[in-house]
Amino acid sequence: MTKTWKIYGIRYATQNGRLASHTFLWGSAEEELAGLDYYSWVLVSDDRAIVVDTGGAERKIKGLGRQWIASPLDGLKELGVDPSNVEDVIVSHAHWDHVGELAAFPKARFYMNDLEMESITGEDMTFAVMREAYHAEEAQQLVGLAYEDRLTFLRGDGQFADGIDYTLIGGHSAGQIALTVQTDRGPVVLATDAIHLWEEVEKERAFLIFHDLRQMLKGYRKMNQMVAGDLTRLLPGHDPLIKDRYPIVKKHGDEPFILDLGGVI
Amino acid sequence: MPERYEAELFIGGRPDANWGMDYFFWMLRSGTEVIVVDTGANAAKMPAKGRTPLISIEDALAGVGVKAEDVSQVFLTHAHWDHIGNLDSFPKAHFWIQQAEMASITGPDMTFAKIRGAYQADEVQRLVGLVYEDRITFLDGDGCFADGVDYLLMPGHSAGQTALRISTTSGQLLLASDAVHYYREAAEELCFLAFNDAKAMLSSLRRCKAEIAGDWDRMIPGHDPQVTWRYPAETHLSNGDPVALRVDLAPIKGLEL
Repeated sequence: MTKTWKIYGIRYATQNGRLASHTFLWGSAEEELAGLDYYSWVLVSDDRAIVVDTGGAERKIKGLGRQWIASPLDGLKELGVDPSNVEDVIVSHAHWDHVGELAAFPKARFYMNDLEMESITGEDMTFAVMREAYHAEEAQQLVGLAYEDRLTFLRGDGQFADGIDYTLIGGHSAGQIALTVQTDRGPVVLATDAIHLWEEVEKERAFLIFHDLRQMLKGYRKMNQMVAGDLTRLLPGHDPLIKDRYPIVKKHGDEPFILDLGGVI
Repeated sequence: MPERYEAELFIGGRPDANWGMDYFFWMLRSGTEVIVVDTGANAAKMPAKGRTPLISIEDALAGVGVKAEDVSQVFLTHAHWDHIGNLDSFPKAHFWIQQAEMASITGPDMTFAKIRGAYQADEVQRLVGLVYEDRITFLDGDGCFADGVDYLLMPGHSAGQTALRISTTSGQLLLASDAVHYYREAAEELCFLAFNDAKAMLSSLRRCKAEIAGDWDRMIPGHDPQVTWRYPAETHLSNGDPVALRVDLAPIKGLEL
């Protein structure tokens, strides 16, 4: 029997209000959107915790005017997961808001797509507009992990563990991956930033940050097919609606902090 | 002569034949234009690897009237530790390297300890830093770098190993860098013991030979001590040994093949 996992989303920061013109290709400056939430994730089974993205560093989040809720590392501790003992960290892609805490996992092996690494160390980064979403020191840290023999490259699609498969989506970044996770309510696709907001799939609105527009749009359709159109089983990476649709496990002050994303809506 | 035995250098090499090994970087000059090719090994890292530094690259360049800090163009033939150990000696330079080399030294190739061994993490991280400082241009295959300087992708020794075809007053030279370490390696098609892809390395060796069309005086291999003694020297160490060699002039000594 396939193993099932719990999926926890740790909502560590939020941006209140954002113009469509800063969010979607051809978005209007007149249209105000709710904003973006920032997540780190952890997949938990009886005997294992797998972290998916580490979240961004606090000073960088604040430096960009986002509201910090609480450290994603504290979120893990709330769930009984000690970052210093975590053995596996999947990096869905290497944008700054996903790889800001690599050093907090000293025993972990990291996993990322090979095309992502090639992109963030190579010619793509000679284009200032593409470099914007990455930070040199984090790319350097990832390279350092490779030389410490703590980085495994995931090529294309495959099985990560019993009940967890990865799929190369690309588009948003060169090596953006999505994870299909078996939960108590069946398979759930953790898109991370292959989809930021459900609207991208519902209306095929193109997110404004991309490596390859066509690939990103194809990815929206592909993931929609992967969940057979049931968007409750497709988890976007930054949608403020997530906190309203899934069970809240823990609040930090008034802010929903930890969400049960494998839970029933 | 420092010891480096054939058996350590080539598949099937003899254990008692000492070839020695010299380490070079190169400088191309035309009028006032200067192109530095590779940056040599970091002197601090050499003793631990059993190598002896002879002179700093700053002093070597100063000897021929070039200030490293003023150099604006550095061409990297590949990213092995003995070629990119002094990137920060060129604070004003823009750098050129093959995209295939960068992809190799930051990607899946480096999960193999035997391939990783020729690279240094801190130097590769410095290269990544240069990318984000907008100081690297990536090359893809063959092309013209400057008037009279063409680059040729010679993969195998490393994924993005590059040689340069340079027009000089003596005609066209092939600066093979480590696509050919020793003249005899190319002449006998020996298989060097450090490689990313052995078959590609041997094919590149043949392409280097085709470039010189049998005229060995047109080839400059990357580590052969014969280069040190065959060409006229412009500068010397205090013990009289040569430093800056004019490999574009006629050799002053024959070649042992």
